[in-house]
Amino acid sequence: MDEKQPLLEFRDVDTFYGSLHILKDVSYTVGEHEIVALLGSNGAGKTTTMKTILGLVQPRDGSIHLGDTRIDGRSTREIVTLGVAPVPEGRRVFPKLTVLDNLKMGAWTRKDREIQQDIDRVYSLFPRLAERKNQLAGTMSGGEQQMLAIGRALMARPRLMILDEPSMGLSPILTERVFDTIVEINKQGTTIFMVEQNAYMALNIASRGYVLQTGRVILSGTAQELLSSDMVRKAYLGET
Amino acid sequence: MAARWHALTDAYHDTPLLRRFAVLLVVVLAFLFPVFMGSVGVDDATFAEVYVLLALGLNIVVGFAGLLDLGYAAFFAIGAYTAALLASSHFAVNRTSFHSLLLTVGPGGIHVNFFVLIPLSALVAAFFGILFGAPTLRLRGDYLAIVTLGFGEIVPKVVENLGDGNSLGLPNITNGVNSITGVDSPPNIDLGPIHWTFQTNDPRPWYYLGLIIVIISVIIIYRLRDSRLGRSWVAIREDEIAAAHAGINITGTRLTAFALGAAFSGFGGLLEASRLANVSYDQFLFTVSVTILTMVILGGIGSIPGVIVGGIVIAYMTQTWLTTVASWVHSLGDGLHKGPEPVSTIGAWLQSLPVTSAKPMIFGIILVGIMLLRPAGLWPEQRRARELHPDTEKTLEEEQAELYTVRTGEI
Repeated sequence: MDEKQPLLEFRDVDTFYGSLHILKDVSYTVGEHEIVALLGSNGAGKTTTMKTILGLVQPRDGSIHLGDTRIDGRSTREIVTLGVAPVPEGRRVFPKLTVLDNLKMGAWTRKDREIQQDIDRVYSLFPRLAERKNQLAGTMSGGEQQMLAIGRALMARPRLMILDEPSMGLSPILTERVFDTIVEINKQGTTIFMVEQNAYMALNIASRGYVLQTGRVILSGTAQELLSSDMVRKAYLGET
Repeated sequence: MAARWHALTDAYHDTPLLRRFAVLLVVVLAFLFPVFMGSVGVDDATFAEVYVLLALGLNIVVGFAGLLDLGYAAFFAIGAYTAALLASSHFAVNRTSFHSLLLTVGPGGIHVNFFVLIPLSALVAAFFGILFGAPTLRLRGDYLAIVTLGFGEIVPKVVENLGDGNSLGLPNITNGVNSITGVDSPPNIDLGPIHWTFQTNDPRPWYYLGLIIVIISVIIIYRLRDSRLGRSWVAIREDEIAAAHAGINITGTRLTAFALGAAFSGFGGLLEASRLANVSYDQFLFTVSVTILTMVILGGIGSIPGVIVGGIVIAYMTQTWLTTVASWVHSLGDGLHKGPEPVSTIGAWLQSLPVTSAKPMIFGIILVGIMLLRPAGLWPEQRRARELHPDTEKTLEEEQAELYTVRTGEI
């Protein structure tokens, strides 16, 4: 992956909440068409990483690049328009809109006439959403809402999809389904950067990963390297 | 333009036949209303039209965008004063004089044609909406409500204090506590069979004018609701963070809701100013803001027909129905007074009961009752085709069963 121009790059990023130093000199690269997993325990700075990409938190130091474009200092709207689609933590579907309207909201930044094709594409990826297109999103199960959140993000035709804990609150079977879909989406050409607590599942589908601890990247490498590292095995896979 | 027109006709054709018929019936009845009603009834109906316009406008802010505005009367005041200042003898221009169909300027004051004032009053109100909204719309919920409450207080106060000999040393802008009188009526209309002469003794032309403005506003608001902008309002109302993640500019979108909501109160203000020919700062106090908000909530937040019904109900309740109730109580007292003791004592008490001064209390009781019985409003927002598919539960069961058989198969 090294020879490729990275799609997303963090260069020595530092972020703060007030005086609280969260991300400390963090660098990531996510190459085009890769799946990259970001692992870390609670409070390590995973969600802050996602917020920093989206411009919800601005770095105090360092820079963030999306392809050739520098995206730190830009508004969320601009960043989304440049091709970053978030699947936020806790899904955040619009509860009182129908499934179909939620999907249409995902295509908000687009002005082309191929939105219906993409809706059909999401439906073929998640047949369950097609069955429930007129149902209010808030009345669906957690797994269905997660599918909808991913489908909504796909509607933006993103270059980079960032997922914040897609397995949160899902049963093991549903988690597997969601991860299968992430692989499928990646195969269709979308780059994936995901935050995940479920290290084993995440590293199984990722090509590379980073391990974050109290705001610092303490380990990075290919998924295989991470899976076989003692540190990851002890801290995340429960082995002694 | 053509595409927009097609969208409008499509929306019409998508509406079920029964609904189309019902809407048509309501419009026809509304046009025939003055034929059956005396002039007092028509006058009350015109008052209701003004309030329906205001409620429709506030519904954009509160219902669509989910921003609680407690000072909406400020924009009503701005619309009314725009009309009053630009279509009365208030601003006398002594040096020059100019006369034309659309604008007359001279020692007799500035007189802008009513039909020019229709877009102008909306634009001025929308401008103030942006002016008030731009620095404050980053606030949310309760905090925004307090700020709007402040604007609702500021505007009438400023108007009250910008009269003759104000302490700021400014010229007489608003005529202060003396109010502005002699606001122009719309020009007379002679179109084929239609002859409308706008006079104070005949409310019918006012009623028809108001009705046309209401109908056009309703069409515009329906189109707004179903537009890209309308969807972004709903998205922000539902989940601000998710809306931002979809690429919506939160503050800018809220600002459009504020400005467009204000624009419709500009229509209301214009109609009210020219109908009463008189504008005073105390027509726009806090109670007016609350009354309009009550119309929106009682009718059904976010529901266009609901808000219209809410506006009509409250306007009539405050204008006429409570007076009618008072006369019922008094005539009941008259009847009972003729009866034997102790009924006659009760009758005498009812005869002199000051029902009219208890209006606010009765009004309050009715509101509490309606909200308890119909908490979502008289005509809640209809979600389009939101019913569950009847077989949804079954598919869920099947899918889970299938999942588990796959699992056991693997093991």
